[in-house]
Amino acid sequence: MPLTANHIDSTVPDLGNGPLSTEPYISLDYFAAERENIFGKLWLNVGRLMEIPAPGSFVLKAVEIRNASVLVTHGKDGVIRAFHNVCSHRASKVEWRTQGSSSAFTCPYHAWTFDLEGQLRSVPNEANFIGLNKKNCGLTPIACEVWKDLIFINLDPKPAQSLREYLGGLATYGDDYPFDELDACVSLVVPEVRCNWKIFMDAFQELYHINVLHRQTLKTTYGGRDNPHGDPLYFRTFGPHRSLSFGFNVDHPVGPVEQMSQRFANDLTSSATAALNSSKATAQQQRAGLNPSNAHNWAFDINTIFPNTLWLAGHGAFNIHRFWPITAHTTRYEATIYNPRPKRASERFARELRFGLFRDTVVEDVLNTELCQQALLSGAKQQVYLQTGEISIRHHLHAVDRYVRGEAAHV
Amino acid sequence: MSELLPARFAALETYGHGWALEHADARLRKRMQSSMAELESFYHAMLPHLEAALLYLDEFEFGRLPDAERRLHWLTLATAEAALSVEIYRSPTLPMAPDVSRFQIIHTNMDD
Repeated sequence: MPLTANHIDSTVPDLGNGPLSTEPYISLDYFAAERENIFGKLWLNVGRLMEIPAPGSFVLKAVEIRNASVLVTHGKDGVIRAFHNVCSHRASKVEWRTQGSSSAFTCPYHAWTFDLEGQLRSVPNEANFIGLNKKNCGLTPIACEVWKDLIFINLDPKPAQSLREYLGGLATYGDDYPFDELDACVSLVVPEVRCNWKIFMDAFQELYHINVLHRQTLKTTYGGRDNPHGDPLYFRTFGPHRSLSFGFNVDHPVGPVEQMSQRFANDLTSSATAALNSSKATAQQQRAGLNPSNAHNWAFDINTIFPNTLWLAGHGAFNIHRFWPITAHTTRYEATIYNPRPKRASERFARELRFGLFRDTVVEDVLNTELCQQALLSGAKQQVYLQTGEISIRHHLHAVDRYVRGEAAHV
Repeated sequence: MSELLPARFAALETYGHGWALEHADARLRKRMQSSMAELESFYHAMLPHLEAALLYLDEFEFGRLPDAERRLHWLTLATAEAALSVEIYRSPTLPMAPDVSRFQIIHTNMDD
């Protein structure tokens, strides 16, 4: 079905229809404003609680655009905290392991040692530091809050909003989603994609390109006879965040091994028929605020947790994609598929083809967006054109622009 | 010479050498480095035994498969990888597939 006003929630602001400037994808000044007004002020999703499951667990997260190494800890008191991973002595990097469990963090430079709560515990040859007050020399804290089991940090020393306030309607939408049942994962990491973070995100916010760029991989998985161009089923916004629903092509033909994958497990990219046959999946769909248009062939909702996280919520599986700007023209990309933990070999098998297809599709996007970035940098075009089915991209650029121009404490 | 696979899957023994690969990136490389004829040969050899293999493996505690059963399990995973080329892409590689060294694949909690 073509996208009409019926598929755009009445609360979505007027985003216009005209072409948009390419400046946000290439301008160094624009990137500098994003660094300050977006990545320096807003809540950023850096991980999941399952990465630091027990008191003593820690994980390092990089926020390159802020030159920040963030140490996230699970304290002995059960509290999740985040700190700048910077020694109070002479600013060395305190923790080098990317993940682990520890009762203390000892700087490799001069062995200043900090506890899980960030307090400075010991200083070798302390007597030589005249007038040192260790109480004032803890690790620099970073605002850290958890929604469901997603960990967020905010690099503004005094965030304008709590995480819950910031997430607004998106949190209400997702409050019932069963994150905790989906704790087995496989991740794809591309350390450097040679494009702006937004142009790579754009590729995940429309299915207009699926039957073209991904004609050899996804072929006829989405869309279908009544929706040949992959129009969204529904679109709504929650401040700067947004949710976009997409449907499967119920006529999509599958081969024998793919059929067997579907038989032994459901997940995000199983066919609609296989997914709907699972009563558990249907229950999950109903528990959460997913599939707002109640489409029979609903596949997933692509939810943007502004600014740089996508949460693809589906039947009994979800994906998290994070797009971390390194420079104006390079991005670190991490994508993870979360499933129920396999209990049998057949269930593990069933994940393999779906992940392979996901991996191969994503890497097609990597090369394509790198070519787009290079083309934009040539200056050949000053504008890009967006159709209604690409409204999610329009909203993203709109929300980014509001922050860049300082027009919105929140959009 | 001892058998690589459980006795009842002896017919697949010849594939136990090249295709029973533990890691996802090794299975991907194997797919990308194989010819279409090699992929089809492996795929069509596995297909008639796939369901029986999965049901057989399900009788064991997952994560504690004996060595021969683990190799059979890896063969089923390699079948899924080969099926991408045989059932969907009709090609061992994709025109836009970048060098595998540009990305990393990390499994957590999937194999234990």
